[in-house]
Amino acid sequence: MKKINPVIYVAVTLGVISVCMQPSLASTLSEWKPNLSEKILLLPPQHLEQAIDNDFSKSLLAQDLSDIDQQLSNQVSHIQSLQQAETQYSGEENIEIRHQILEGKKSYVELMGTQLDLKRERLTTKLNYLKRLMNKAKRKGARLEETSELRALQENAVQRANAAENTLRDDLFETSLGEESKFSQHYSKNKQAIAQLKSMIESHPMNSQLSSAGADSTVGHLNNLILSAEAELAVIDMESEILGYMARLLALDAMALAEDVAIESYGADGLPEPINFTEPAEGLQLFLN
Amino acid sequence: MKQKLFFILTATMFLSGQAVQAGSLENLERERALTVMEMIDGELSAEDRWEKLAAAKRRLADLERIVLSDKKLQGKASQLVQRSFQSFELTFLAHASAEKQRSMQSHWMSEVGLSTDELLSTRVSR
Repeated sequence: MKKINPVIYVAVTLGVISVCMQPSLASTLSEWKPNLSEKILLLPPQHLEQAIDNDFSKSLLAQDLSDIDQQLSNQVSHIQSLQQAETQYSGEENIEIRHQILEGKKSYVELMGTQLDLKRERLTTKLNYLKRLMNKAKRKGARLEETSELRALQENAVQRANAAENTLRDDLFETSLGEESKFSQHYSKNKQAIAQLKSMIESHPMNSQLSSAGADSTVGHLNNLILSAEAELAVIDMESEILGYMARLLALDAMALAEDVAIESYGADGLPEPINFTEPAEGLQLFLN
Repeated sequence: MKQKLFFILTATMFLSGQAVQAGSLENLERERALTVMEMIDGELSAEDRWEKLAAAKRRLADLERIVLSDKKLQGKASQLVQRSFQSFELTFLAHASAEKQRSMQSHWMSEVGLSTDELLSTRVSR
């Protein structure tokens, strides 16, 4: 078996430790810029989150997250297979496998860090977008409140006009000088079609579900979504902490491996003490030979 | 000279564009004003007035339907829209008169305080 070069192992150990000491290597790989119009606020509250998630799934960020998930899954199975093989070898081969396990864990920690950063990016973008929607919904609500009196007047006018429509039609028929106007013909036909469609909408089972679930206002639902996104961000922070502990454990494992390598190469005494030639007595041997 | 011509043409196009963009409520107001003028025109014979008002009622009915189904007016908090919907009786003459089952003319006169009783109760004075 080839002799293990301790310099390489020390370098590897230092590399692993330096990687572990960094919070994450993830950089801003990709972005998600929600590309949804303000009309999203017109959707029933339940469909709002679905529309946002659909938009996210089309982004590069979602693609990167999916790629990292796949890589993480491969990395975990690689580490597991190495860990199973570790007990079957001893000596230098065992050290080699431990080294590979450390390398695998290092990659796992890096990938996990990147994944957490991407998840944080997604949630922060979602949160900012939801807050923007919330402001818009509040402004819209305020505008509606301002014009509520006028809307009531308009609804009342429409109801009164609808109630008088038959009488008016009879009056016009009695005093008819010519044919009914084109608009009038289309109006009555379209009015009937609209009434039929409206009644179909009202009796539609899905509409009743939406209206019962839609008791919460859009603002209320947005508020729930914002709370949920903030909770998810808090979970991400906790996961980062777990990853930090994993990295610290990995650093300790790397240090233990470095020690084992030193013992393997130089015996139980480990690395020889370096001689300090700055004192004259230490260089005496040079003159005595 | 060319510049002046260009300016006049541009102004004409701008103004004609404005006229086309008149809203449904403005159209109704214009037609309503013409109808009221016909109601109080002393030079019209009774038969002519009846014919003109019958035609006006048909036009007003259509314009009122257009206004009532105009989505652009919903929640539009302009003075004109507010005033128009506050006084349903005077804005929607055709529908309101049908609701009250009166002729459009007597309905308008009663709404502006020109009913027979009110006219009879007036005093001639110098």
